[in-house]
Amino acid sequence: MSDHALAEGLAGLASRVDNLSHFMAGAEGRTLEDQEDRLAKLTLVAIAVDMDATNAKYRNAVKRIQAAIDAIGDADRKIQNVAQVIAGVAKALDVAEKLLAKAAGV
Amino acid sequence: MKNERRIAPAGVRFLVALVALGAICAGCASMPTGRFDTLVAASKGVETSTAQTDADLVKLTRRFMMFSPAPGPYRVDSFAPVVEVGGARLDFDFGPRLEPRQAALGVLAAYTEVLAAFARKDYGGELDRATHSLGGSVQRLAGHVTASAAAKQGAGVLATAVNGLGHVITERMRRAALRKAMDDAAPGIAAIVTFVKEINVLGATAATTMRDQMIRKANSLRVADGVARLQLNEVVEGVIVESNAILAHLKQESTAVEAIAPAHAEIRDAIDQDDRAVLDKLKTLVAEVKRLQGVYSSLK
Repeated sequence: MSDHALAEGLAGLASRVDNLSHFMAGAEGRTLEDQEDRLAKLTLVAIAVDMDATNAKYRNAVKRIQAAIDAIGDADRKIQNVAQVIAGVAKALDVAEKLLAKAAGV
Repeated sequence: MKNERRIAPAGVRFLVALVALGAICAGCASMPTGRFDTLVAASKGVETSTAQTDADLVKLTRRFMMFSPAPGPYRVDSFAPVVEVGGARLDFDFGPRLEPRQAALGVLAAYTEVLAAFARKDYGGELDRATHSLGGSVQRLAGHVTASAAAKQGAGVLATAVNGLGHVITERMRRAALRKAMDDAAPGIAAIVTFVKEINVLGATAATTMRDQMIRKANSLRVADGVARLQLNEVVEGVIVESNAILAHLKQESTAVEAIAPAHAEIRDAIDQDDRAVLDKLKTLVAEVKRLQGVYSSLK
C-alpha cells in the first residue's frame, strides 16, 4: 500500500464507476456519471492533501541545503582572512623597511 | 660577520622550506571548476523544466474545470477547483502546492551556484597582489641591511615562497571546506530528490485523473457530426496531448533529479582530480537533463 492510497483508491473507483455507467441508461446512468465526476474531484482533493503532507514532510531538507550554503559563506570569509594575513605581513615588512632606512640614515 | 655566517644557513634552510611549500602549491593550484558549472547548469535545467510543467498542470486543472464545473447555475466560482464535502469547501488548486517543490529545486540550484562560485573564487589573485607588495618590500629591505649574499639571493625567493604558502593554505582550506559542505548537504540533496519525485508522482496521478475524466466527459457529450464535432475533437485532442506531455515531463524530471545526488557525490570524491578527470555520473546527469529538454521540445 503506497503513501497515497486514498488518492489511488478513489481514482480506481472512479474508473470502475465509469465502466458501470456505460451499461446504464436514463436516470441511473446520469446518477453514475455525477458520482464519477464527484469521485474524480475527490481524488484530486486527496492528491492535494497528500501534496500538503509531502510538502510538510520535506521542509527540513531545504533548511539543510540552506545551512550548507551558509557554511560555504563562512569558509569563504575564513580563507579571505588568510589572504588578508599575508597582506598584513607585506605591510609589516614595509614598516620594517622604513624603520631600517631611517636607522641607516638613507 | 660571525653572526651573519651563523644566521645565513638557517635563513637559507627556511627559504628552501618555503620554496618546497611553493612547489607543493603548484600541484594543487588548479581547482577543478568546470564540473561545478556543469552541476549548476543541470540543476537549473531541472528547475526551469519543472516550473514549466507546473504551469502546464495548473492550466490542465483549468481545462478540467471547463469539463466539470460546479453543479447548478453558473456562479463566479463555478470553475474554481473546489468540491463541497459536508458543507466544507475542499480545494485542489495545485499551483500553491507545487511551489514548495519548486522552491526546493531553487535552493538546490542556488547551492550548486554557491559551490561553483566558491570553487572558482580568485583567492590566488588576492594573494598575488599581496605578495607583489611583499616582494617589493623584501627586495628593498635586503638592499638596506648589510646582509649575506645568500640572504640577498633569498630575499626575492621569499616573496614567491610566501605566496606559495598562501596558495597551499587557501587551496587546502577551500578543498576541505568544499568536502565538508558537500558532505553536510548530501542528506539534504537526497531528501529533496525524494521530495521532488513524490510530488511528481502525485502530479502524474492528478494529470491522469483529470485526463481520464475529461475523456469520459467528452464521451458523454451529445454532439452532432459537423463543425461542432470537429471543435470537440480539437479540444479533446489538446487535452490528451497536454496531459501526456505533463506525464512525460514529470517522469523525465524524476529521472534527471535522481541523477543529481550521484553526480554531486562523484564531484565531491574527485575534488583532488583536475578537470580532465572523467566523471561518469556527471555525464549521466547531463544526458538526462538533455533528454528532459528533448522531451519538452518533441511534445510541443
